[in-house]
Amino acid sequence: MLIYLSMIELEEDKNKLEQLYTTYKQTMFYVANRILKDEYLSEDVVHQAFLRIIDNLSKIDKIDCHKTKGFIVVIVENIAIDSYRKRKRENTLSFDEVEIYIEDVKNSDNFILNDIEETILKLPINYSTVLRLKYSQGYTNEEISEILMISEENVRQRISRGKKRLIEILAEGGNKFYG
Amino acid sequence: MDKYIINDDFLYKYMKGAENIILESLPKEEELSYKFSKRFKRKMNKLIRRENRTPFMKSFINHSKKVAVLFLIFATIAFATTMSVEAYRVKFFEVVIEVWEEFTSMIFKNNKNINDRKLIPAVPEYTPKGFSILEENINDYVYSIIYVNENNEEIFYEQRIISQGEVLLDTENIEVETIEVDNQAIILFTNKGVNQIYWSDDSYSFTLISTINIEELITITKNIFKNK
Repeated sequence: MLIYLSMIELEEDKNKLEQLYTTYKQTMFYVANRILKDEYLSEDVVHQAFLRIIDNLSKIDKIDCHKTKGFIVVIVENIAIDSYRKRKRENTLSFDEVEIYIEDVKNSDNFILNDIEETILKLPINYSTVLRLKYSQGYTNEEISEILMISEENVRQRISRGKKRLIEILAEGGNKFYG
Repeated sequence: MDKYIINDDFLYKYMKGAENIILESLPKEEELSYKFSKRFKRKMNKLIRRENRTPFMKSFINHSKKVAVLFLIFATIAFATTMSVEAYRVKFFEVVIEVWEEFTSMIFKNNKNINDRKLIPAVPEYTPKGFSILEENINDYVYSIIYVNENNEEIFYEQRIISQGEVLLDTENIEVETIEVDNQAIILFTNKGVNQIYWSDDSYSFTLISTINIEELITITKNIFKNK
């Protein structure tokens, strides 16, 4: 009955955080600040995001790649939304009640989008973060619950609501859909 | 008018492309030049230094923060191994130190309520040359300091209010010594190149851990005795 935690830490993890910091700090701040529009709070969000990343370092293989960038952006967006909720209504708004859109993505003319991608980009980011983790980055519900620090039940709920919202947006565009 | 079926296959097919557009629409890192505040840089430097610790120190400090000194209510230990027992009777507590083959146990027994006791920090006045405070934390029950020098060597010091319970230390295959320093019994051993010292008085348990040499740690220990 020896209760002694021997936390296994890989040597290669030692500098991973530093490399992530050097590679993404400006992007992270940009992502946070376009939601919060407050430099002080956005810095706090970036710091909190790094704390969250430390808990999920094993999920990151390469530093400078699309998947890692996507993963980090989702973490920052998620924490920024939480910070936004706290600031707005003292946390009385539920996560789903906050609909935050990223205008510069929605209005971007630099990309040739198909109808579906355009519709997905119209999703508020509180819905799209969980869908991106699941369907673009391939994480399981269990992993997503670790990354977002919510229960698996909550993950399932958000995915289901995200799908529903997507259907609504498609319907608004005059498309037929099946859930 | 198009028809769509929103299911997992649909989302797996289109979500990647949508995410790529989100990421591509972000300015490139080198195009951004936000000047972070000193406060932010300080916090991040601290975090990175903490993450760059040796795996042993990191695991020990994480362990210490989460479970650390484990106060278990009279655990029944069923190891059929040899052991030696020394007991120190003090004002409020009886401290029984058991050195087993796999670990060392320190059992604190008392009948007094400690809830009304408030921690008065015993701050070391002596630190080896080149060391400065990296982190200092205090709450009602625990006071801890992490010192660091330029070579990233660290000293971890912790003072904790003791309550009835047991502390288990991983000392498997390690020679554990109990010695007297200024009439105070201390436990010391070296595990994976890291020196560790533990002792207790009638109110607190103390921990000193570092890769610096054991003589220096004992000097710090004596200094803490003097300043209490």
